Amino acid sequence: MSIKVIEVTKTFARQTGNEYVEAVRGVSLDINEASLTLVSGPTGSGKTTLLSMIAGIIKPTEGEVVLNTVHVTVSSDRSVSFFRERFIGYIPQEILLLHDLNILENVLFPNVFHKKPMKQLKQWAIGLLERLGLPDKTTCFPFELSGGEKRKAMIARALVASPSFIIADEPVSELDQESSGEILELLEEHKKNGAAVVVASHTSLSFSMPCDIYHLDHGRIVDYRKGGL
Amino acid sequence: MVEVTGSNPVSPKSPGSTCRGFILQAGFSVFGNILWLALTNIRRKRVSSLLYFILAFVISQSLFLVSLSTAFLRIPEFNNIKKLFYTVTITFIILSVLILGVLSYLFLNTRRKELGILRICGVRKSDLLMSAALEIFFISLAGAVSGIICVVCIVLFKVIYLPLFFQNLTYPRLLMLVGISGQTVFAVVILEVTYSLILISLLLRNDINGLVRGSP
Repeated sequence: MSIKVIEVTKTFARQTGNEYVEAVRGVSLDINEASLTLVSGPTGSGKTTLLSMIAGIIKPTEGEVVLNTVHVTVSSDRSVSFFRERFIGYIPQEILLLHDLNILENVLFPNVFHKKPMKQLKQWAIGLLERLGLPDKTTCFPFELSGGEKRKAMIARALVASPSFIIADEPVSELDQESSGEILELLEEHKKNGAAVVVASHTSLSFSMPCDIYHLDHGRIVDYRKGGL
Repeated sequence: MVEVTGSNPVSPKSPGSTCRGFILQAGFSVFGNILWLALTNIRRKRVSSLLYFILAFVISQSLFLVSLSTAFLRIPEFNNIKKLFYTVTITFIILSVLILGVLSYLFLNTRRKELGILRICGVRKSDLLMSAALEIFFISLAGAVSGIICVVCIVLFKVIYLPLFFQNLTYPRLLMLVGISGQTVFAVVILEVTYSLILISLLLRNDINGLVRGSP
């Protein structure tokens, strides 16, 4: 199972006038099982857009993203969503938690629409939250949590269904060093178990295992290091 | 799917394992879960639910009065009141079409974050629309039924004095009344659900990127 990104370009129209911005330009990359990929680059270099395209959330303006056998640009919303539901765990950059649900409900909420055994997922979610240092926060609401704890809850939500591809957009941006270490360790553990992990970060991350590093600048890949630490 | 069972401690008897009854009904089918979500959303999103309810309440009242006057008030003396009912109803329907547009936008706007989360987790647009349809269906059904009950009460207690409305209310006439009520409820629910769904699906199609980024 793999995700192939072939020469993708994403253009956004500005709100005012007829100007267009190329967020990503002609980027290609392959993501295979049990791999660790780091997409680095300064703020505004197109990391989030690239990750959104890899996850099939937005379609590229040019080029193609192939989610195993699903071609994003020509496939229906149904098949792309199905792939995302089954195989992708996406951790967005923004804090996206529902304020009127507690943390456990937030972690389990997206699975309402999926044919997954809720009882088992609930146990998994509690286990994951304990692992992430939030064992006593399951009944807390997001406003009672710090930024870092909210991010951990979002990570738990992405990992609860054990996806084959984990796409994390700045997963440790609001965490202290210890928590960052825990998160990276958890991601590496999933990689060891066969998941493909793609992480975007504007800072260098200290993975303990080799990873492919793509450096983005102004939407282009300016540097690529295979198996770099 | 990747199995990492060994790495995740499972503690089903953890103190935090109790949920408040929201969504986590293990054993439900997907449709059951969507239904449950729609019902809980009615409670969670009170403002938009109330607005849909009021709209259904008002439209059903005016439509019911028109249907009643057409069916029961066939005497020339009532022509003026019939004209009034028609005018009020047509105005309400035109207004409600406009208000439904605004409500659909509000519906989507208050759920932007929620829908964004669901979309990034692989929930299909059709499932989101199903959930929205069920939610609007229940609210408009409640609104329409309440509106009809309200009209019947108003006439029975002579707030509006319509002496012939329930005079000689024999079995066939009662059946007719029930039929008119059913038709009205059906019309209101169909109007609200279909029109809102068309608008929501159009808005959803053009705004996926915004939804995903979770902008308020």
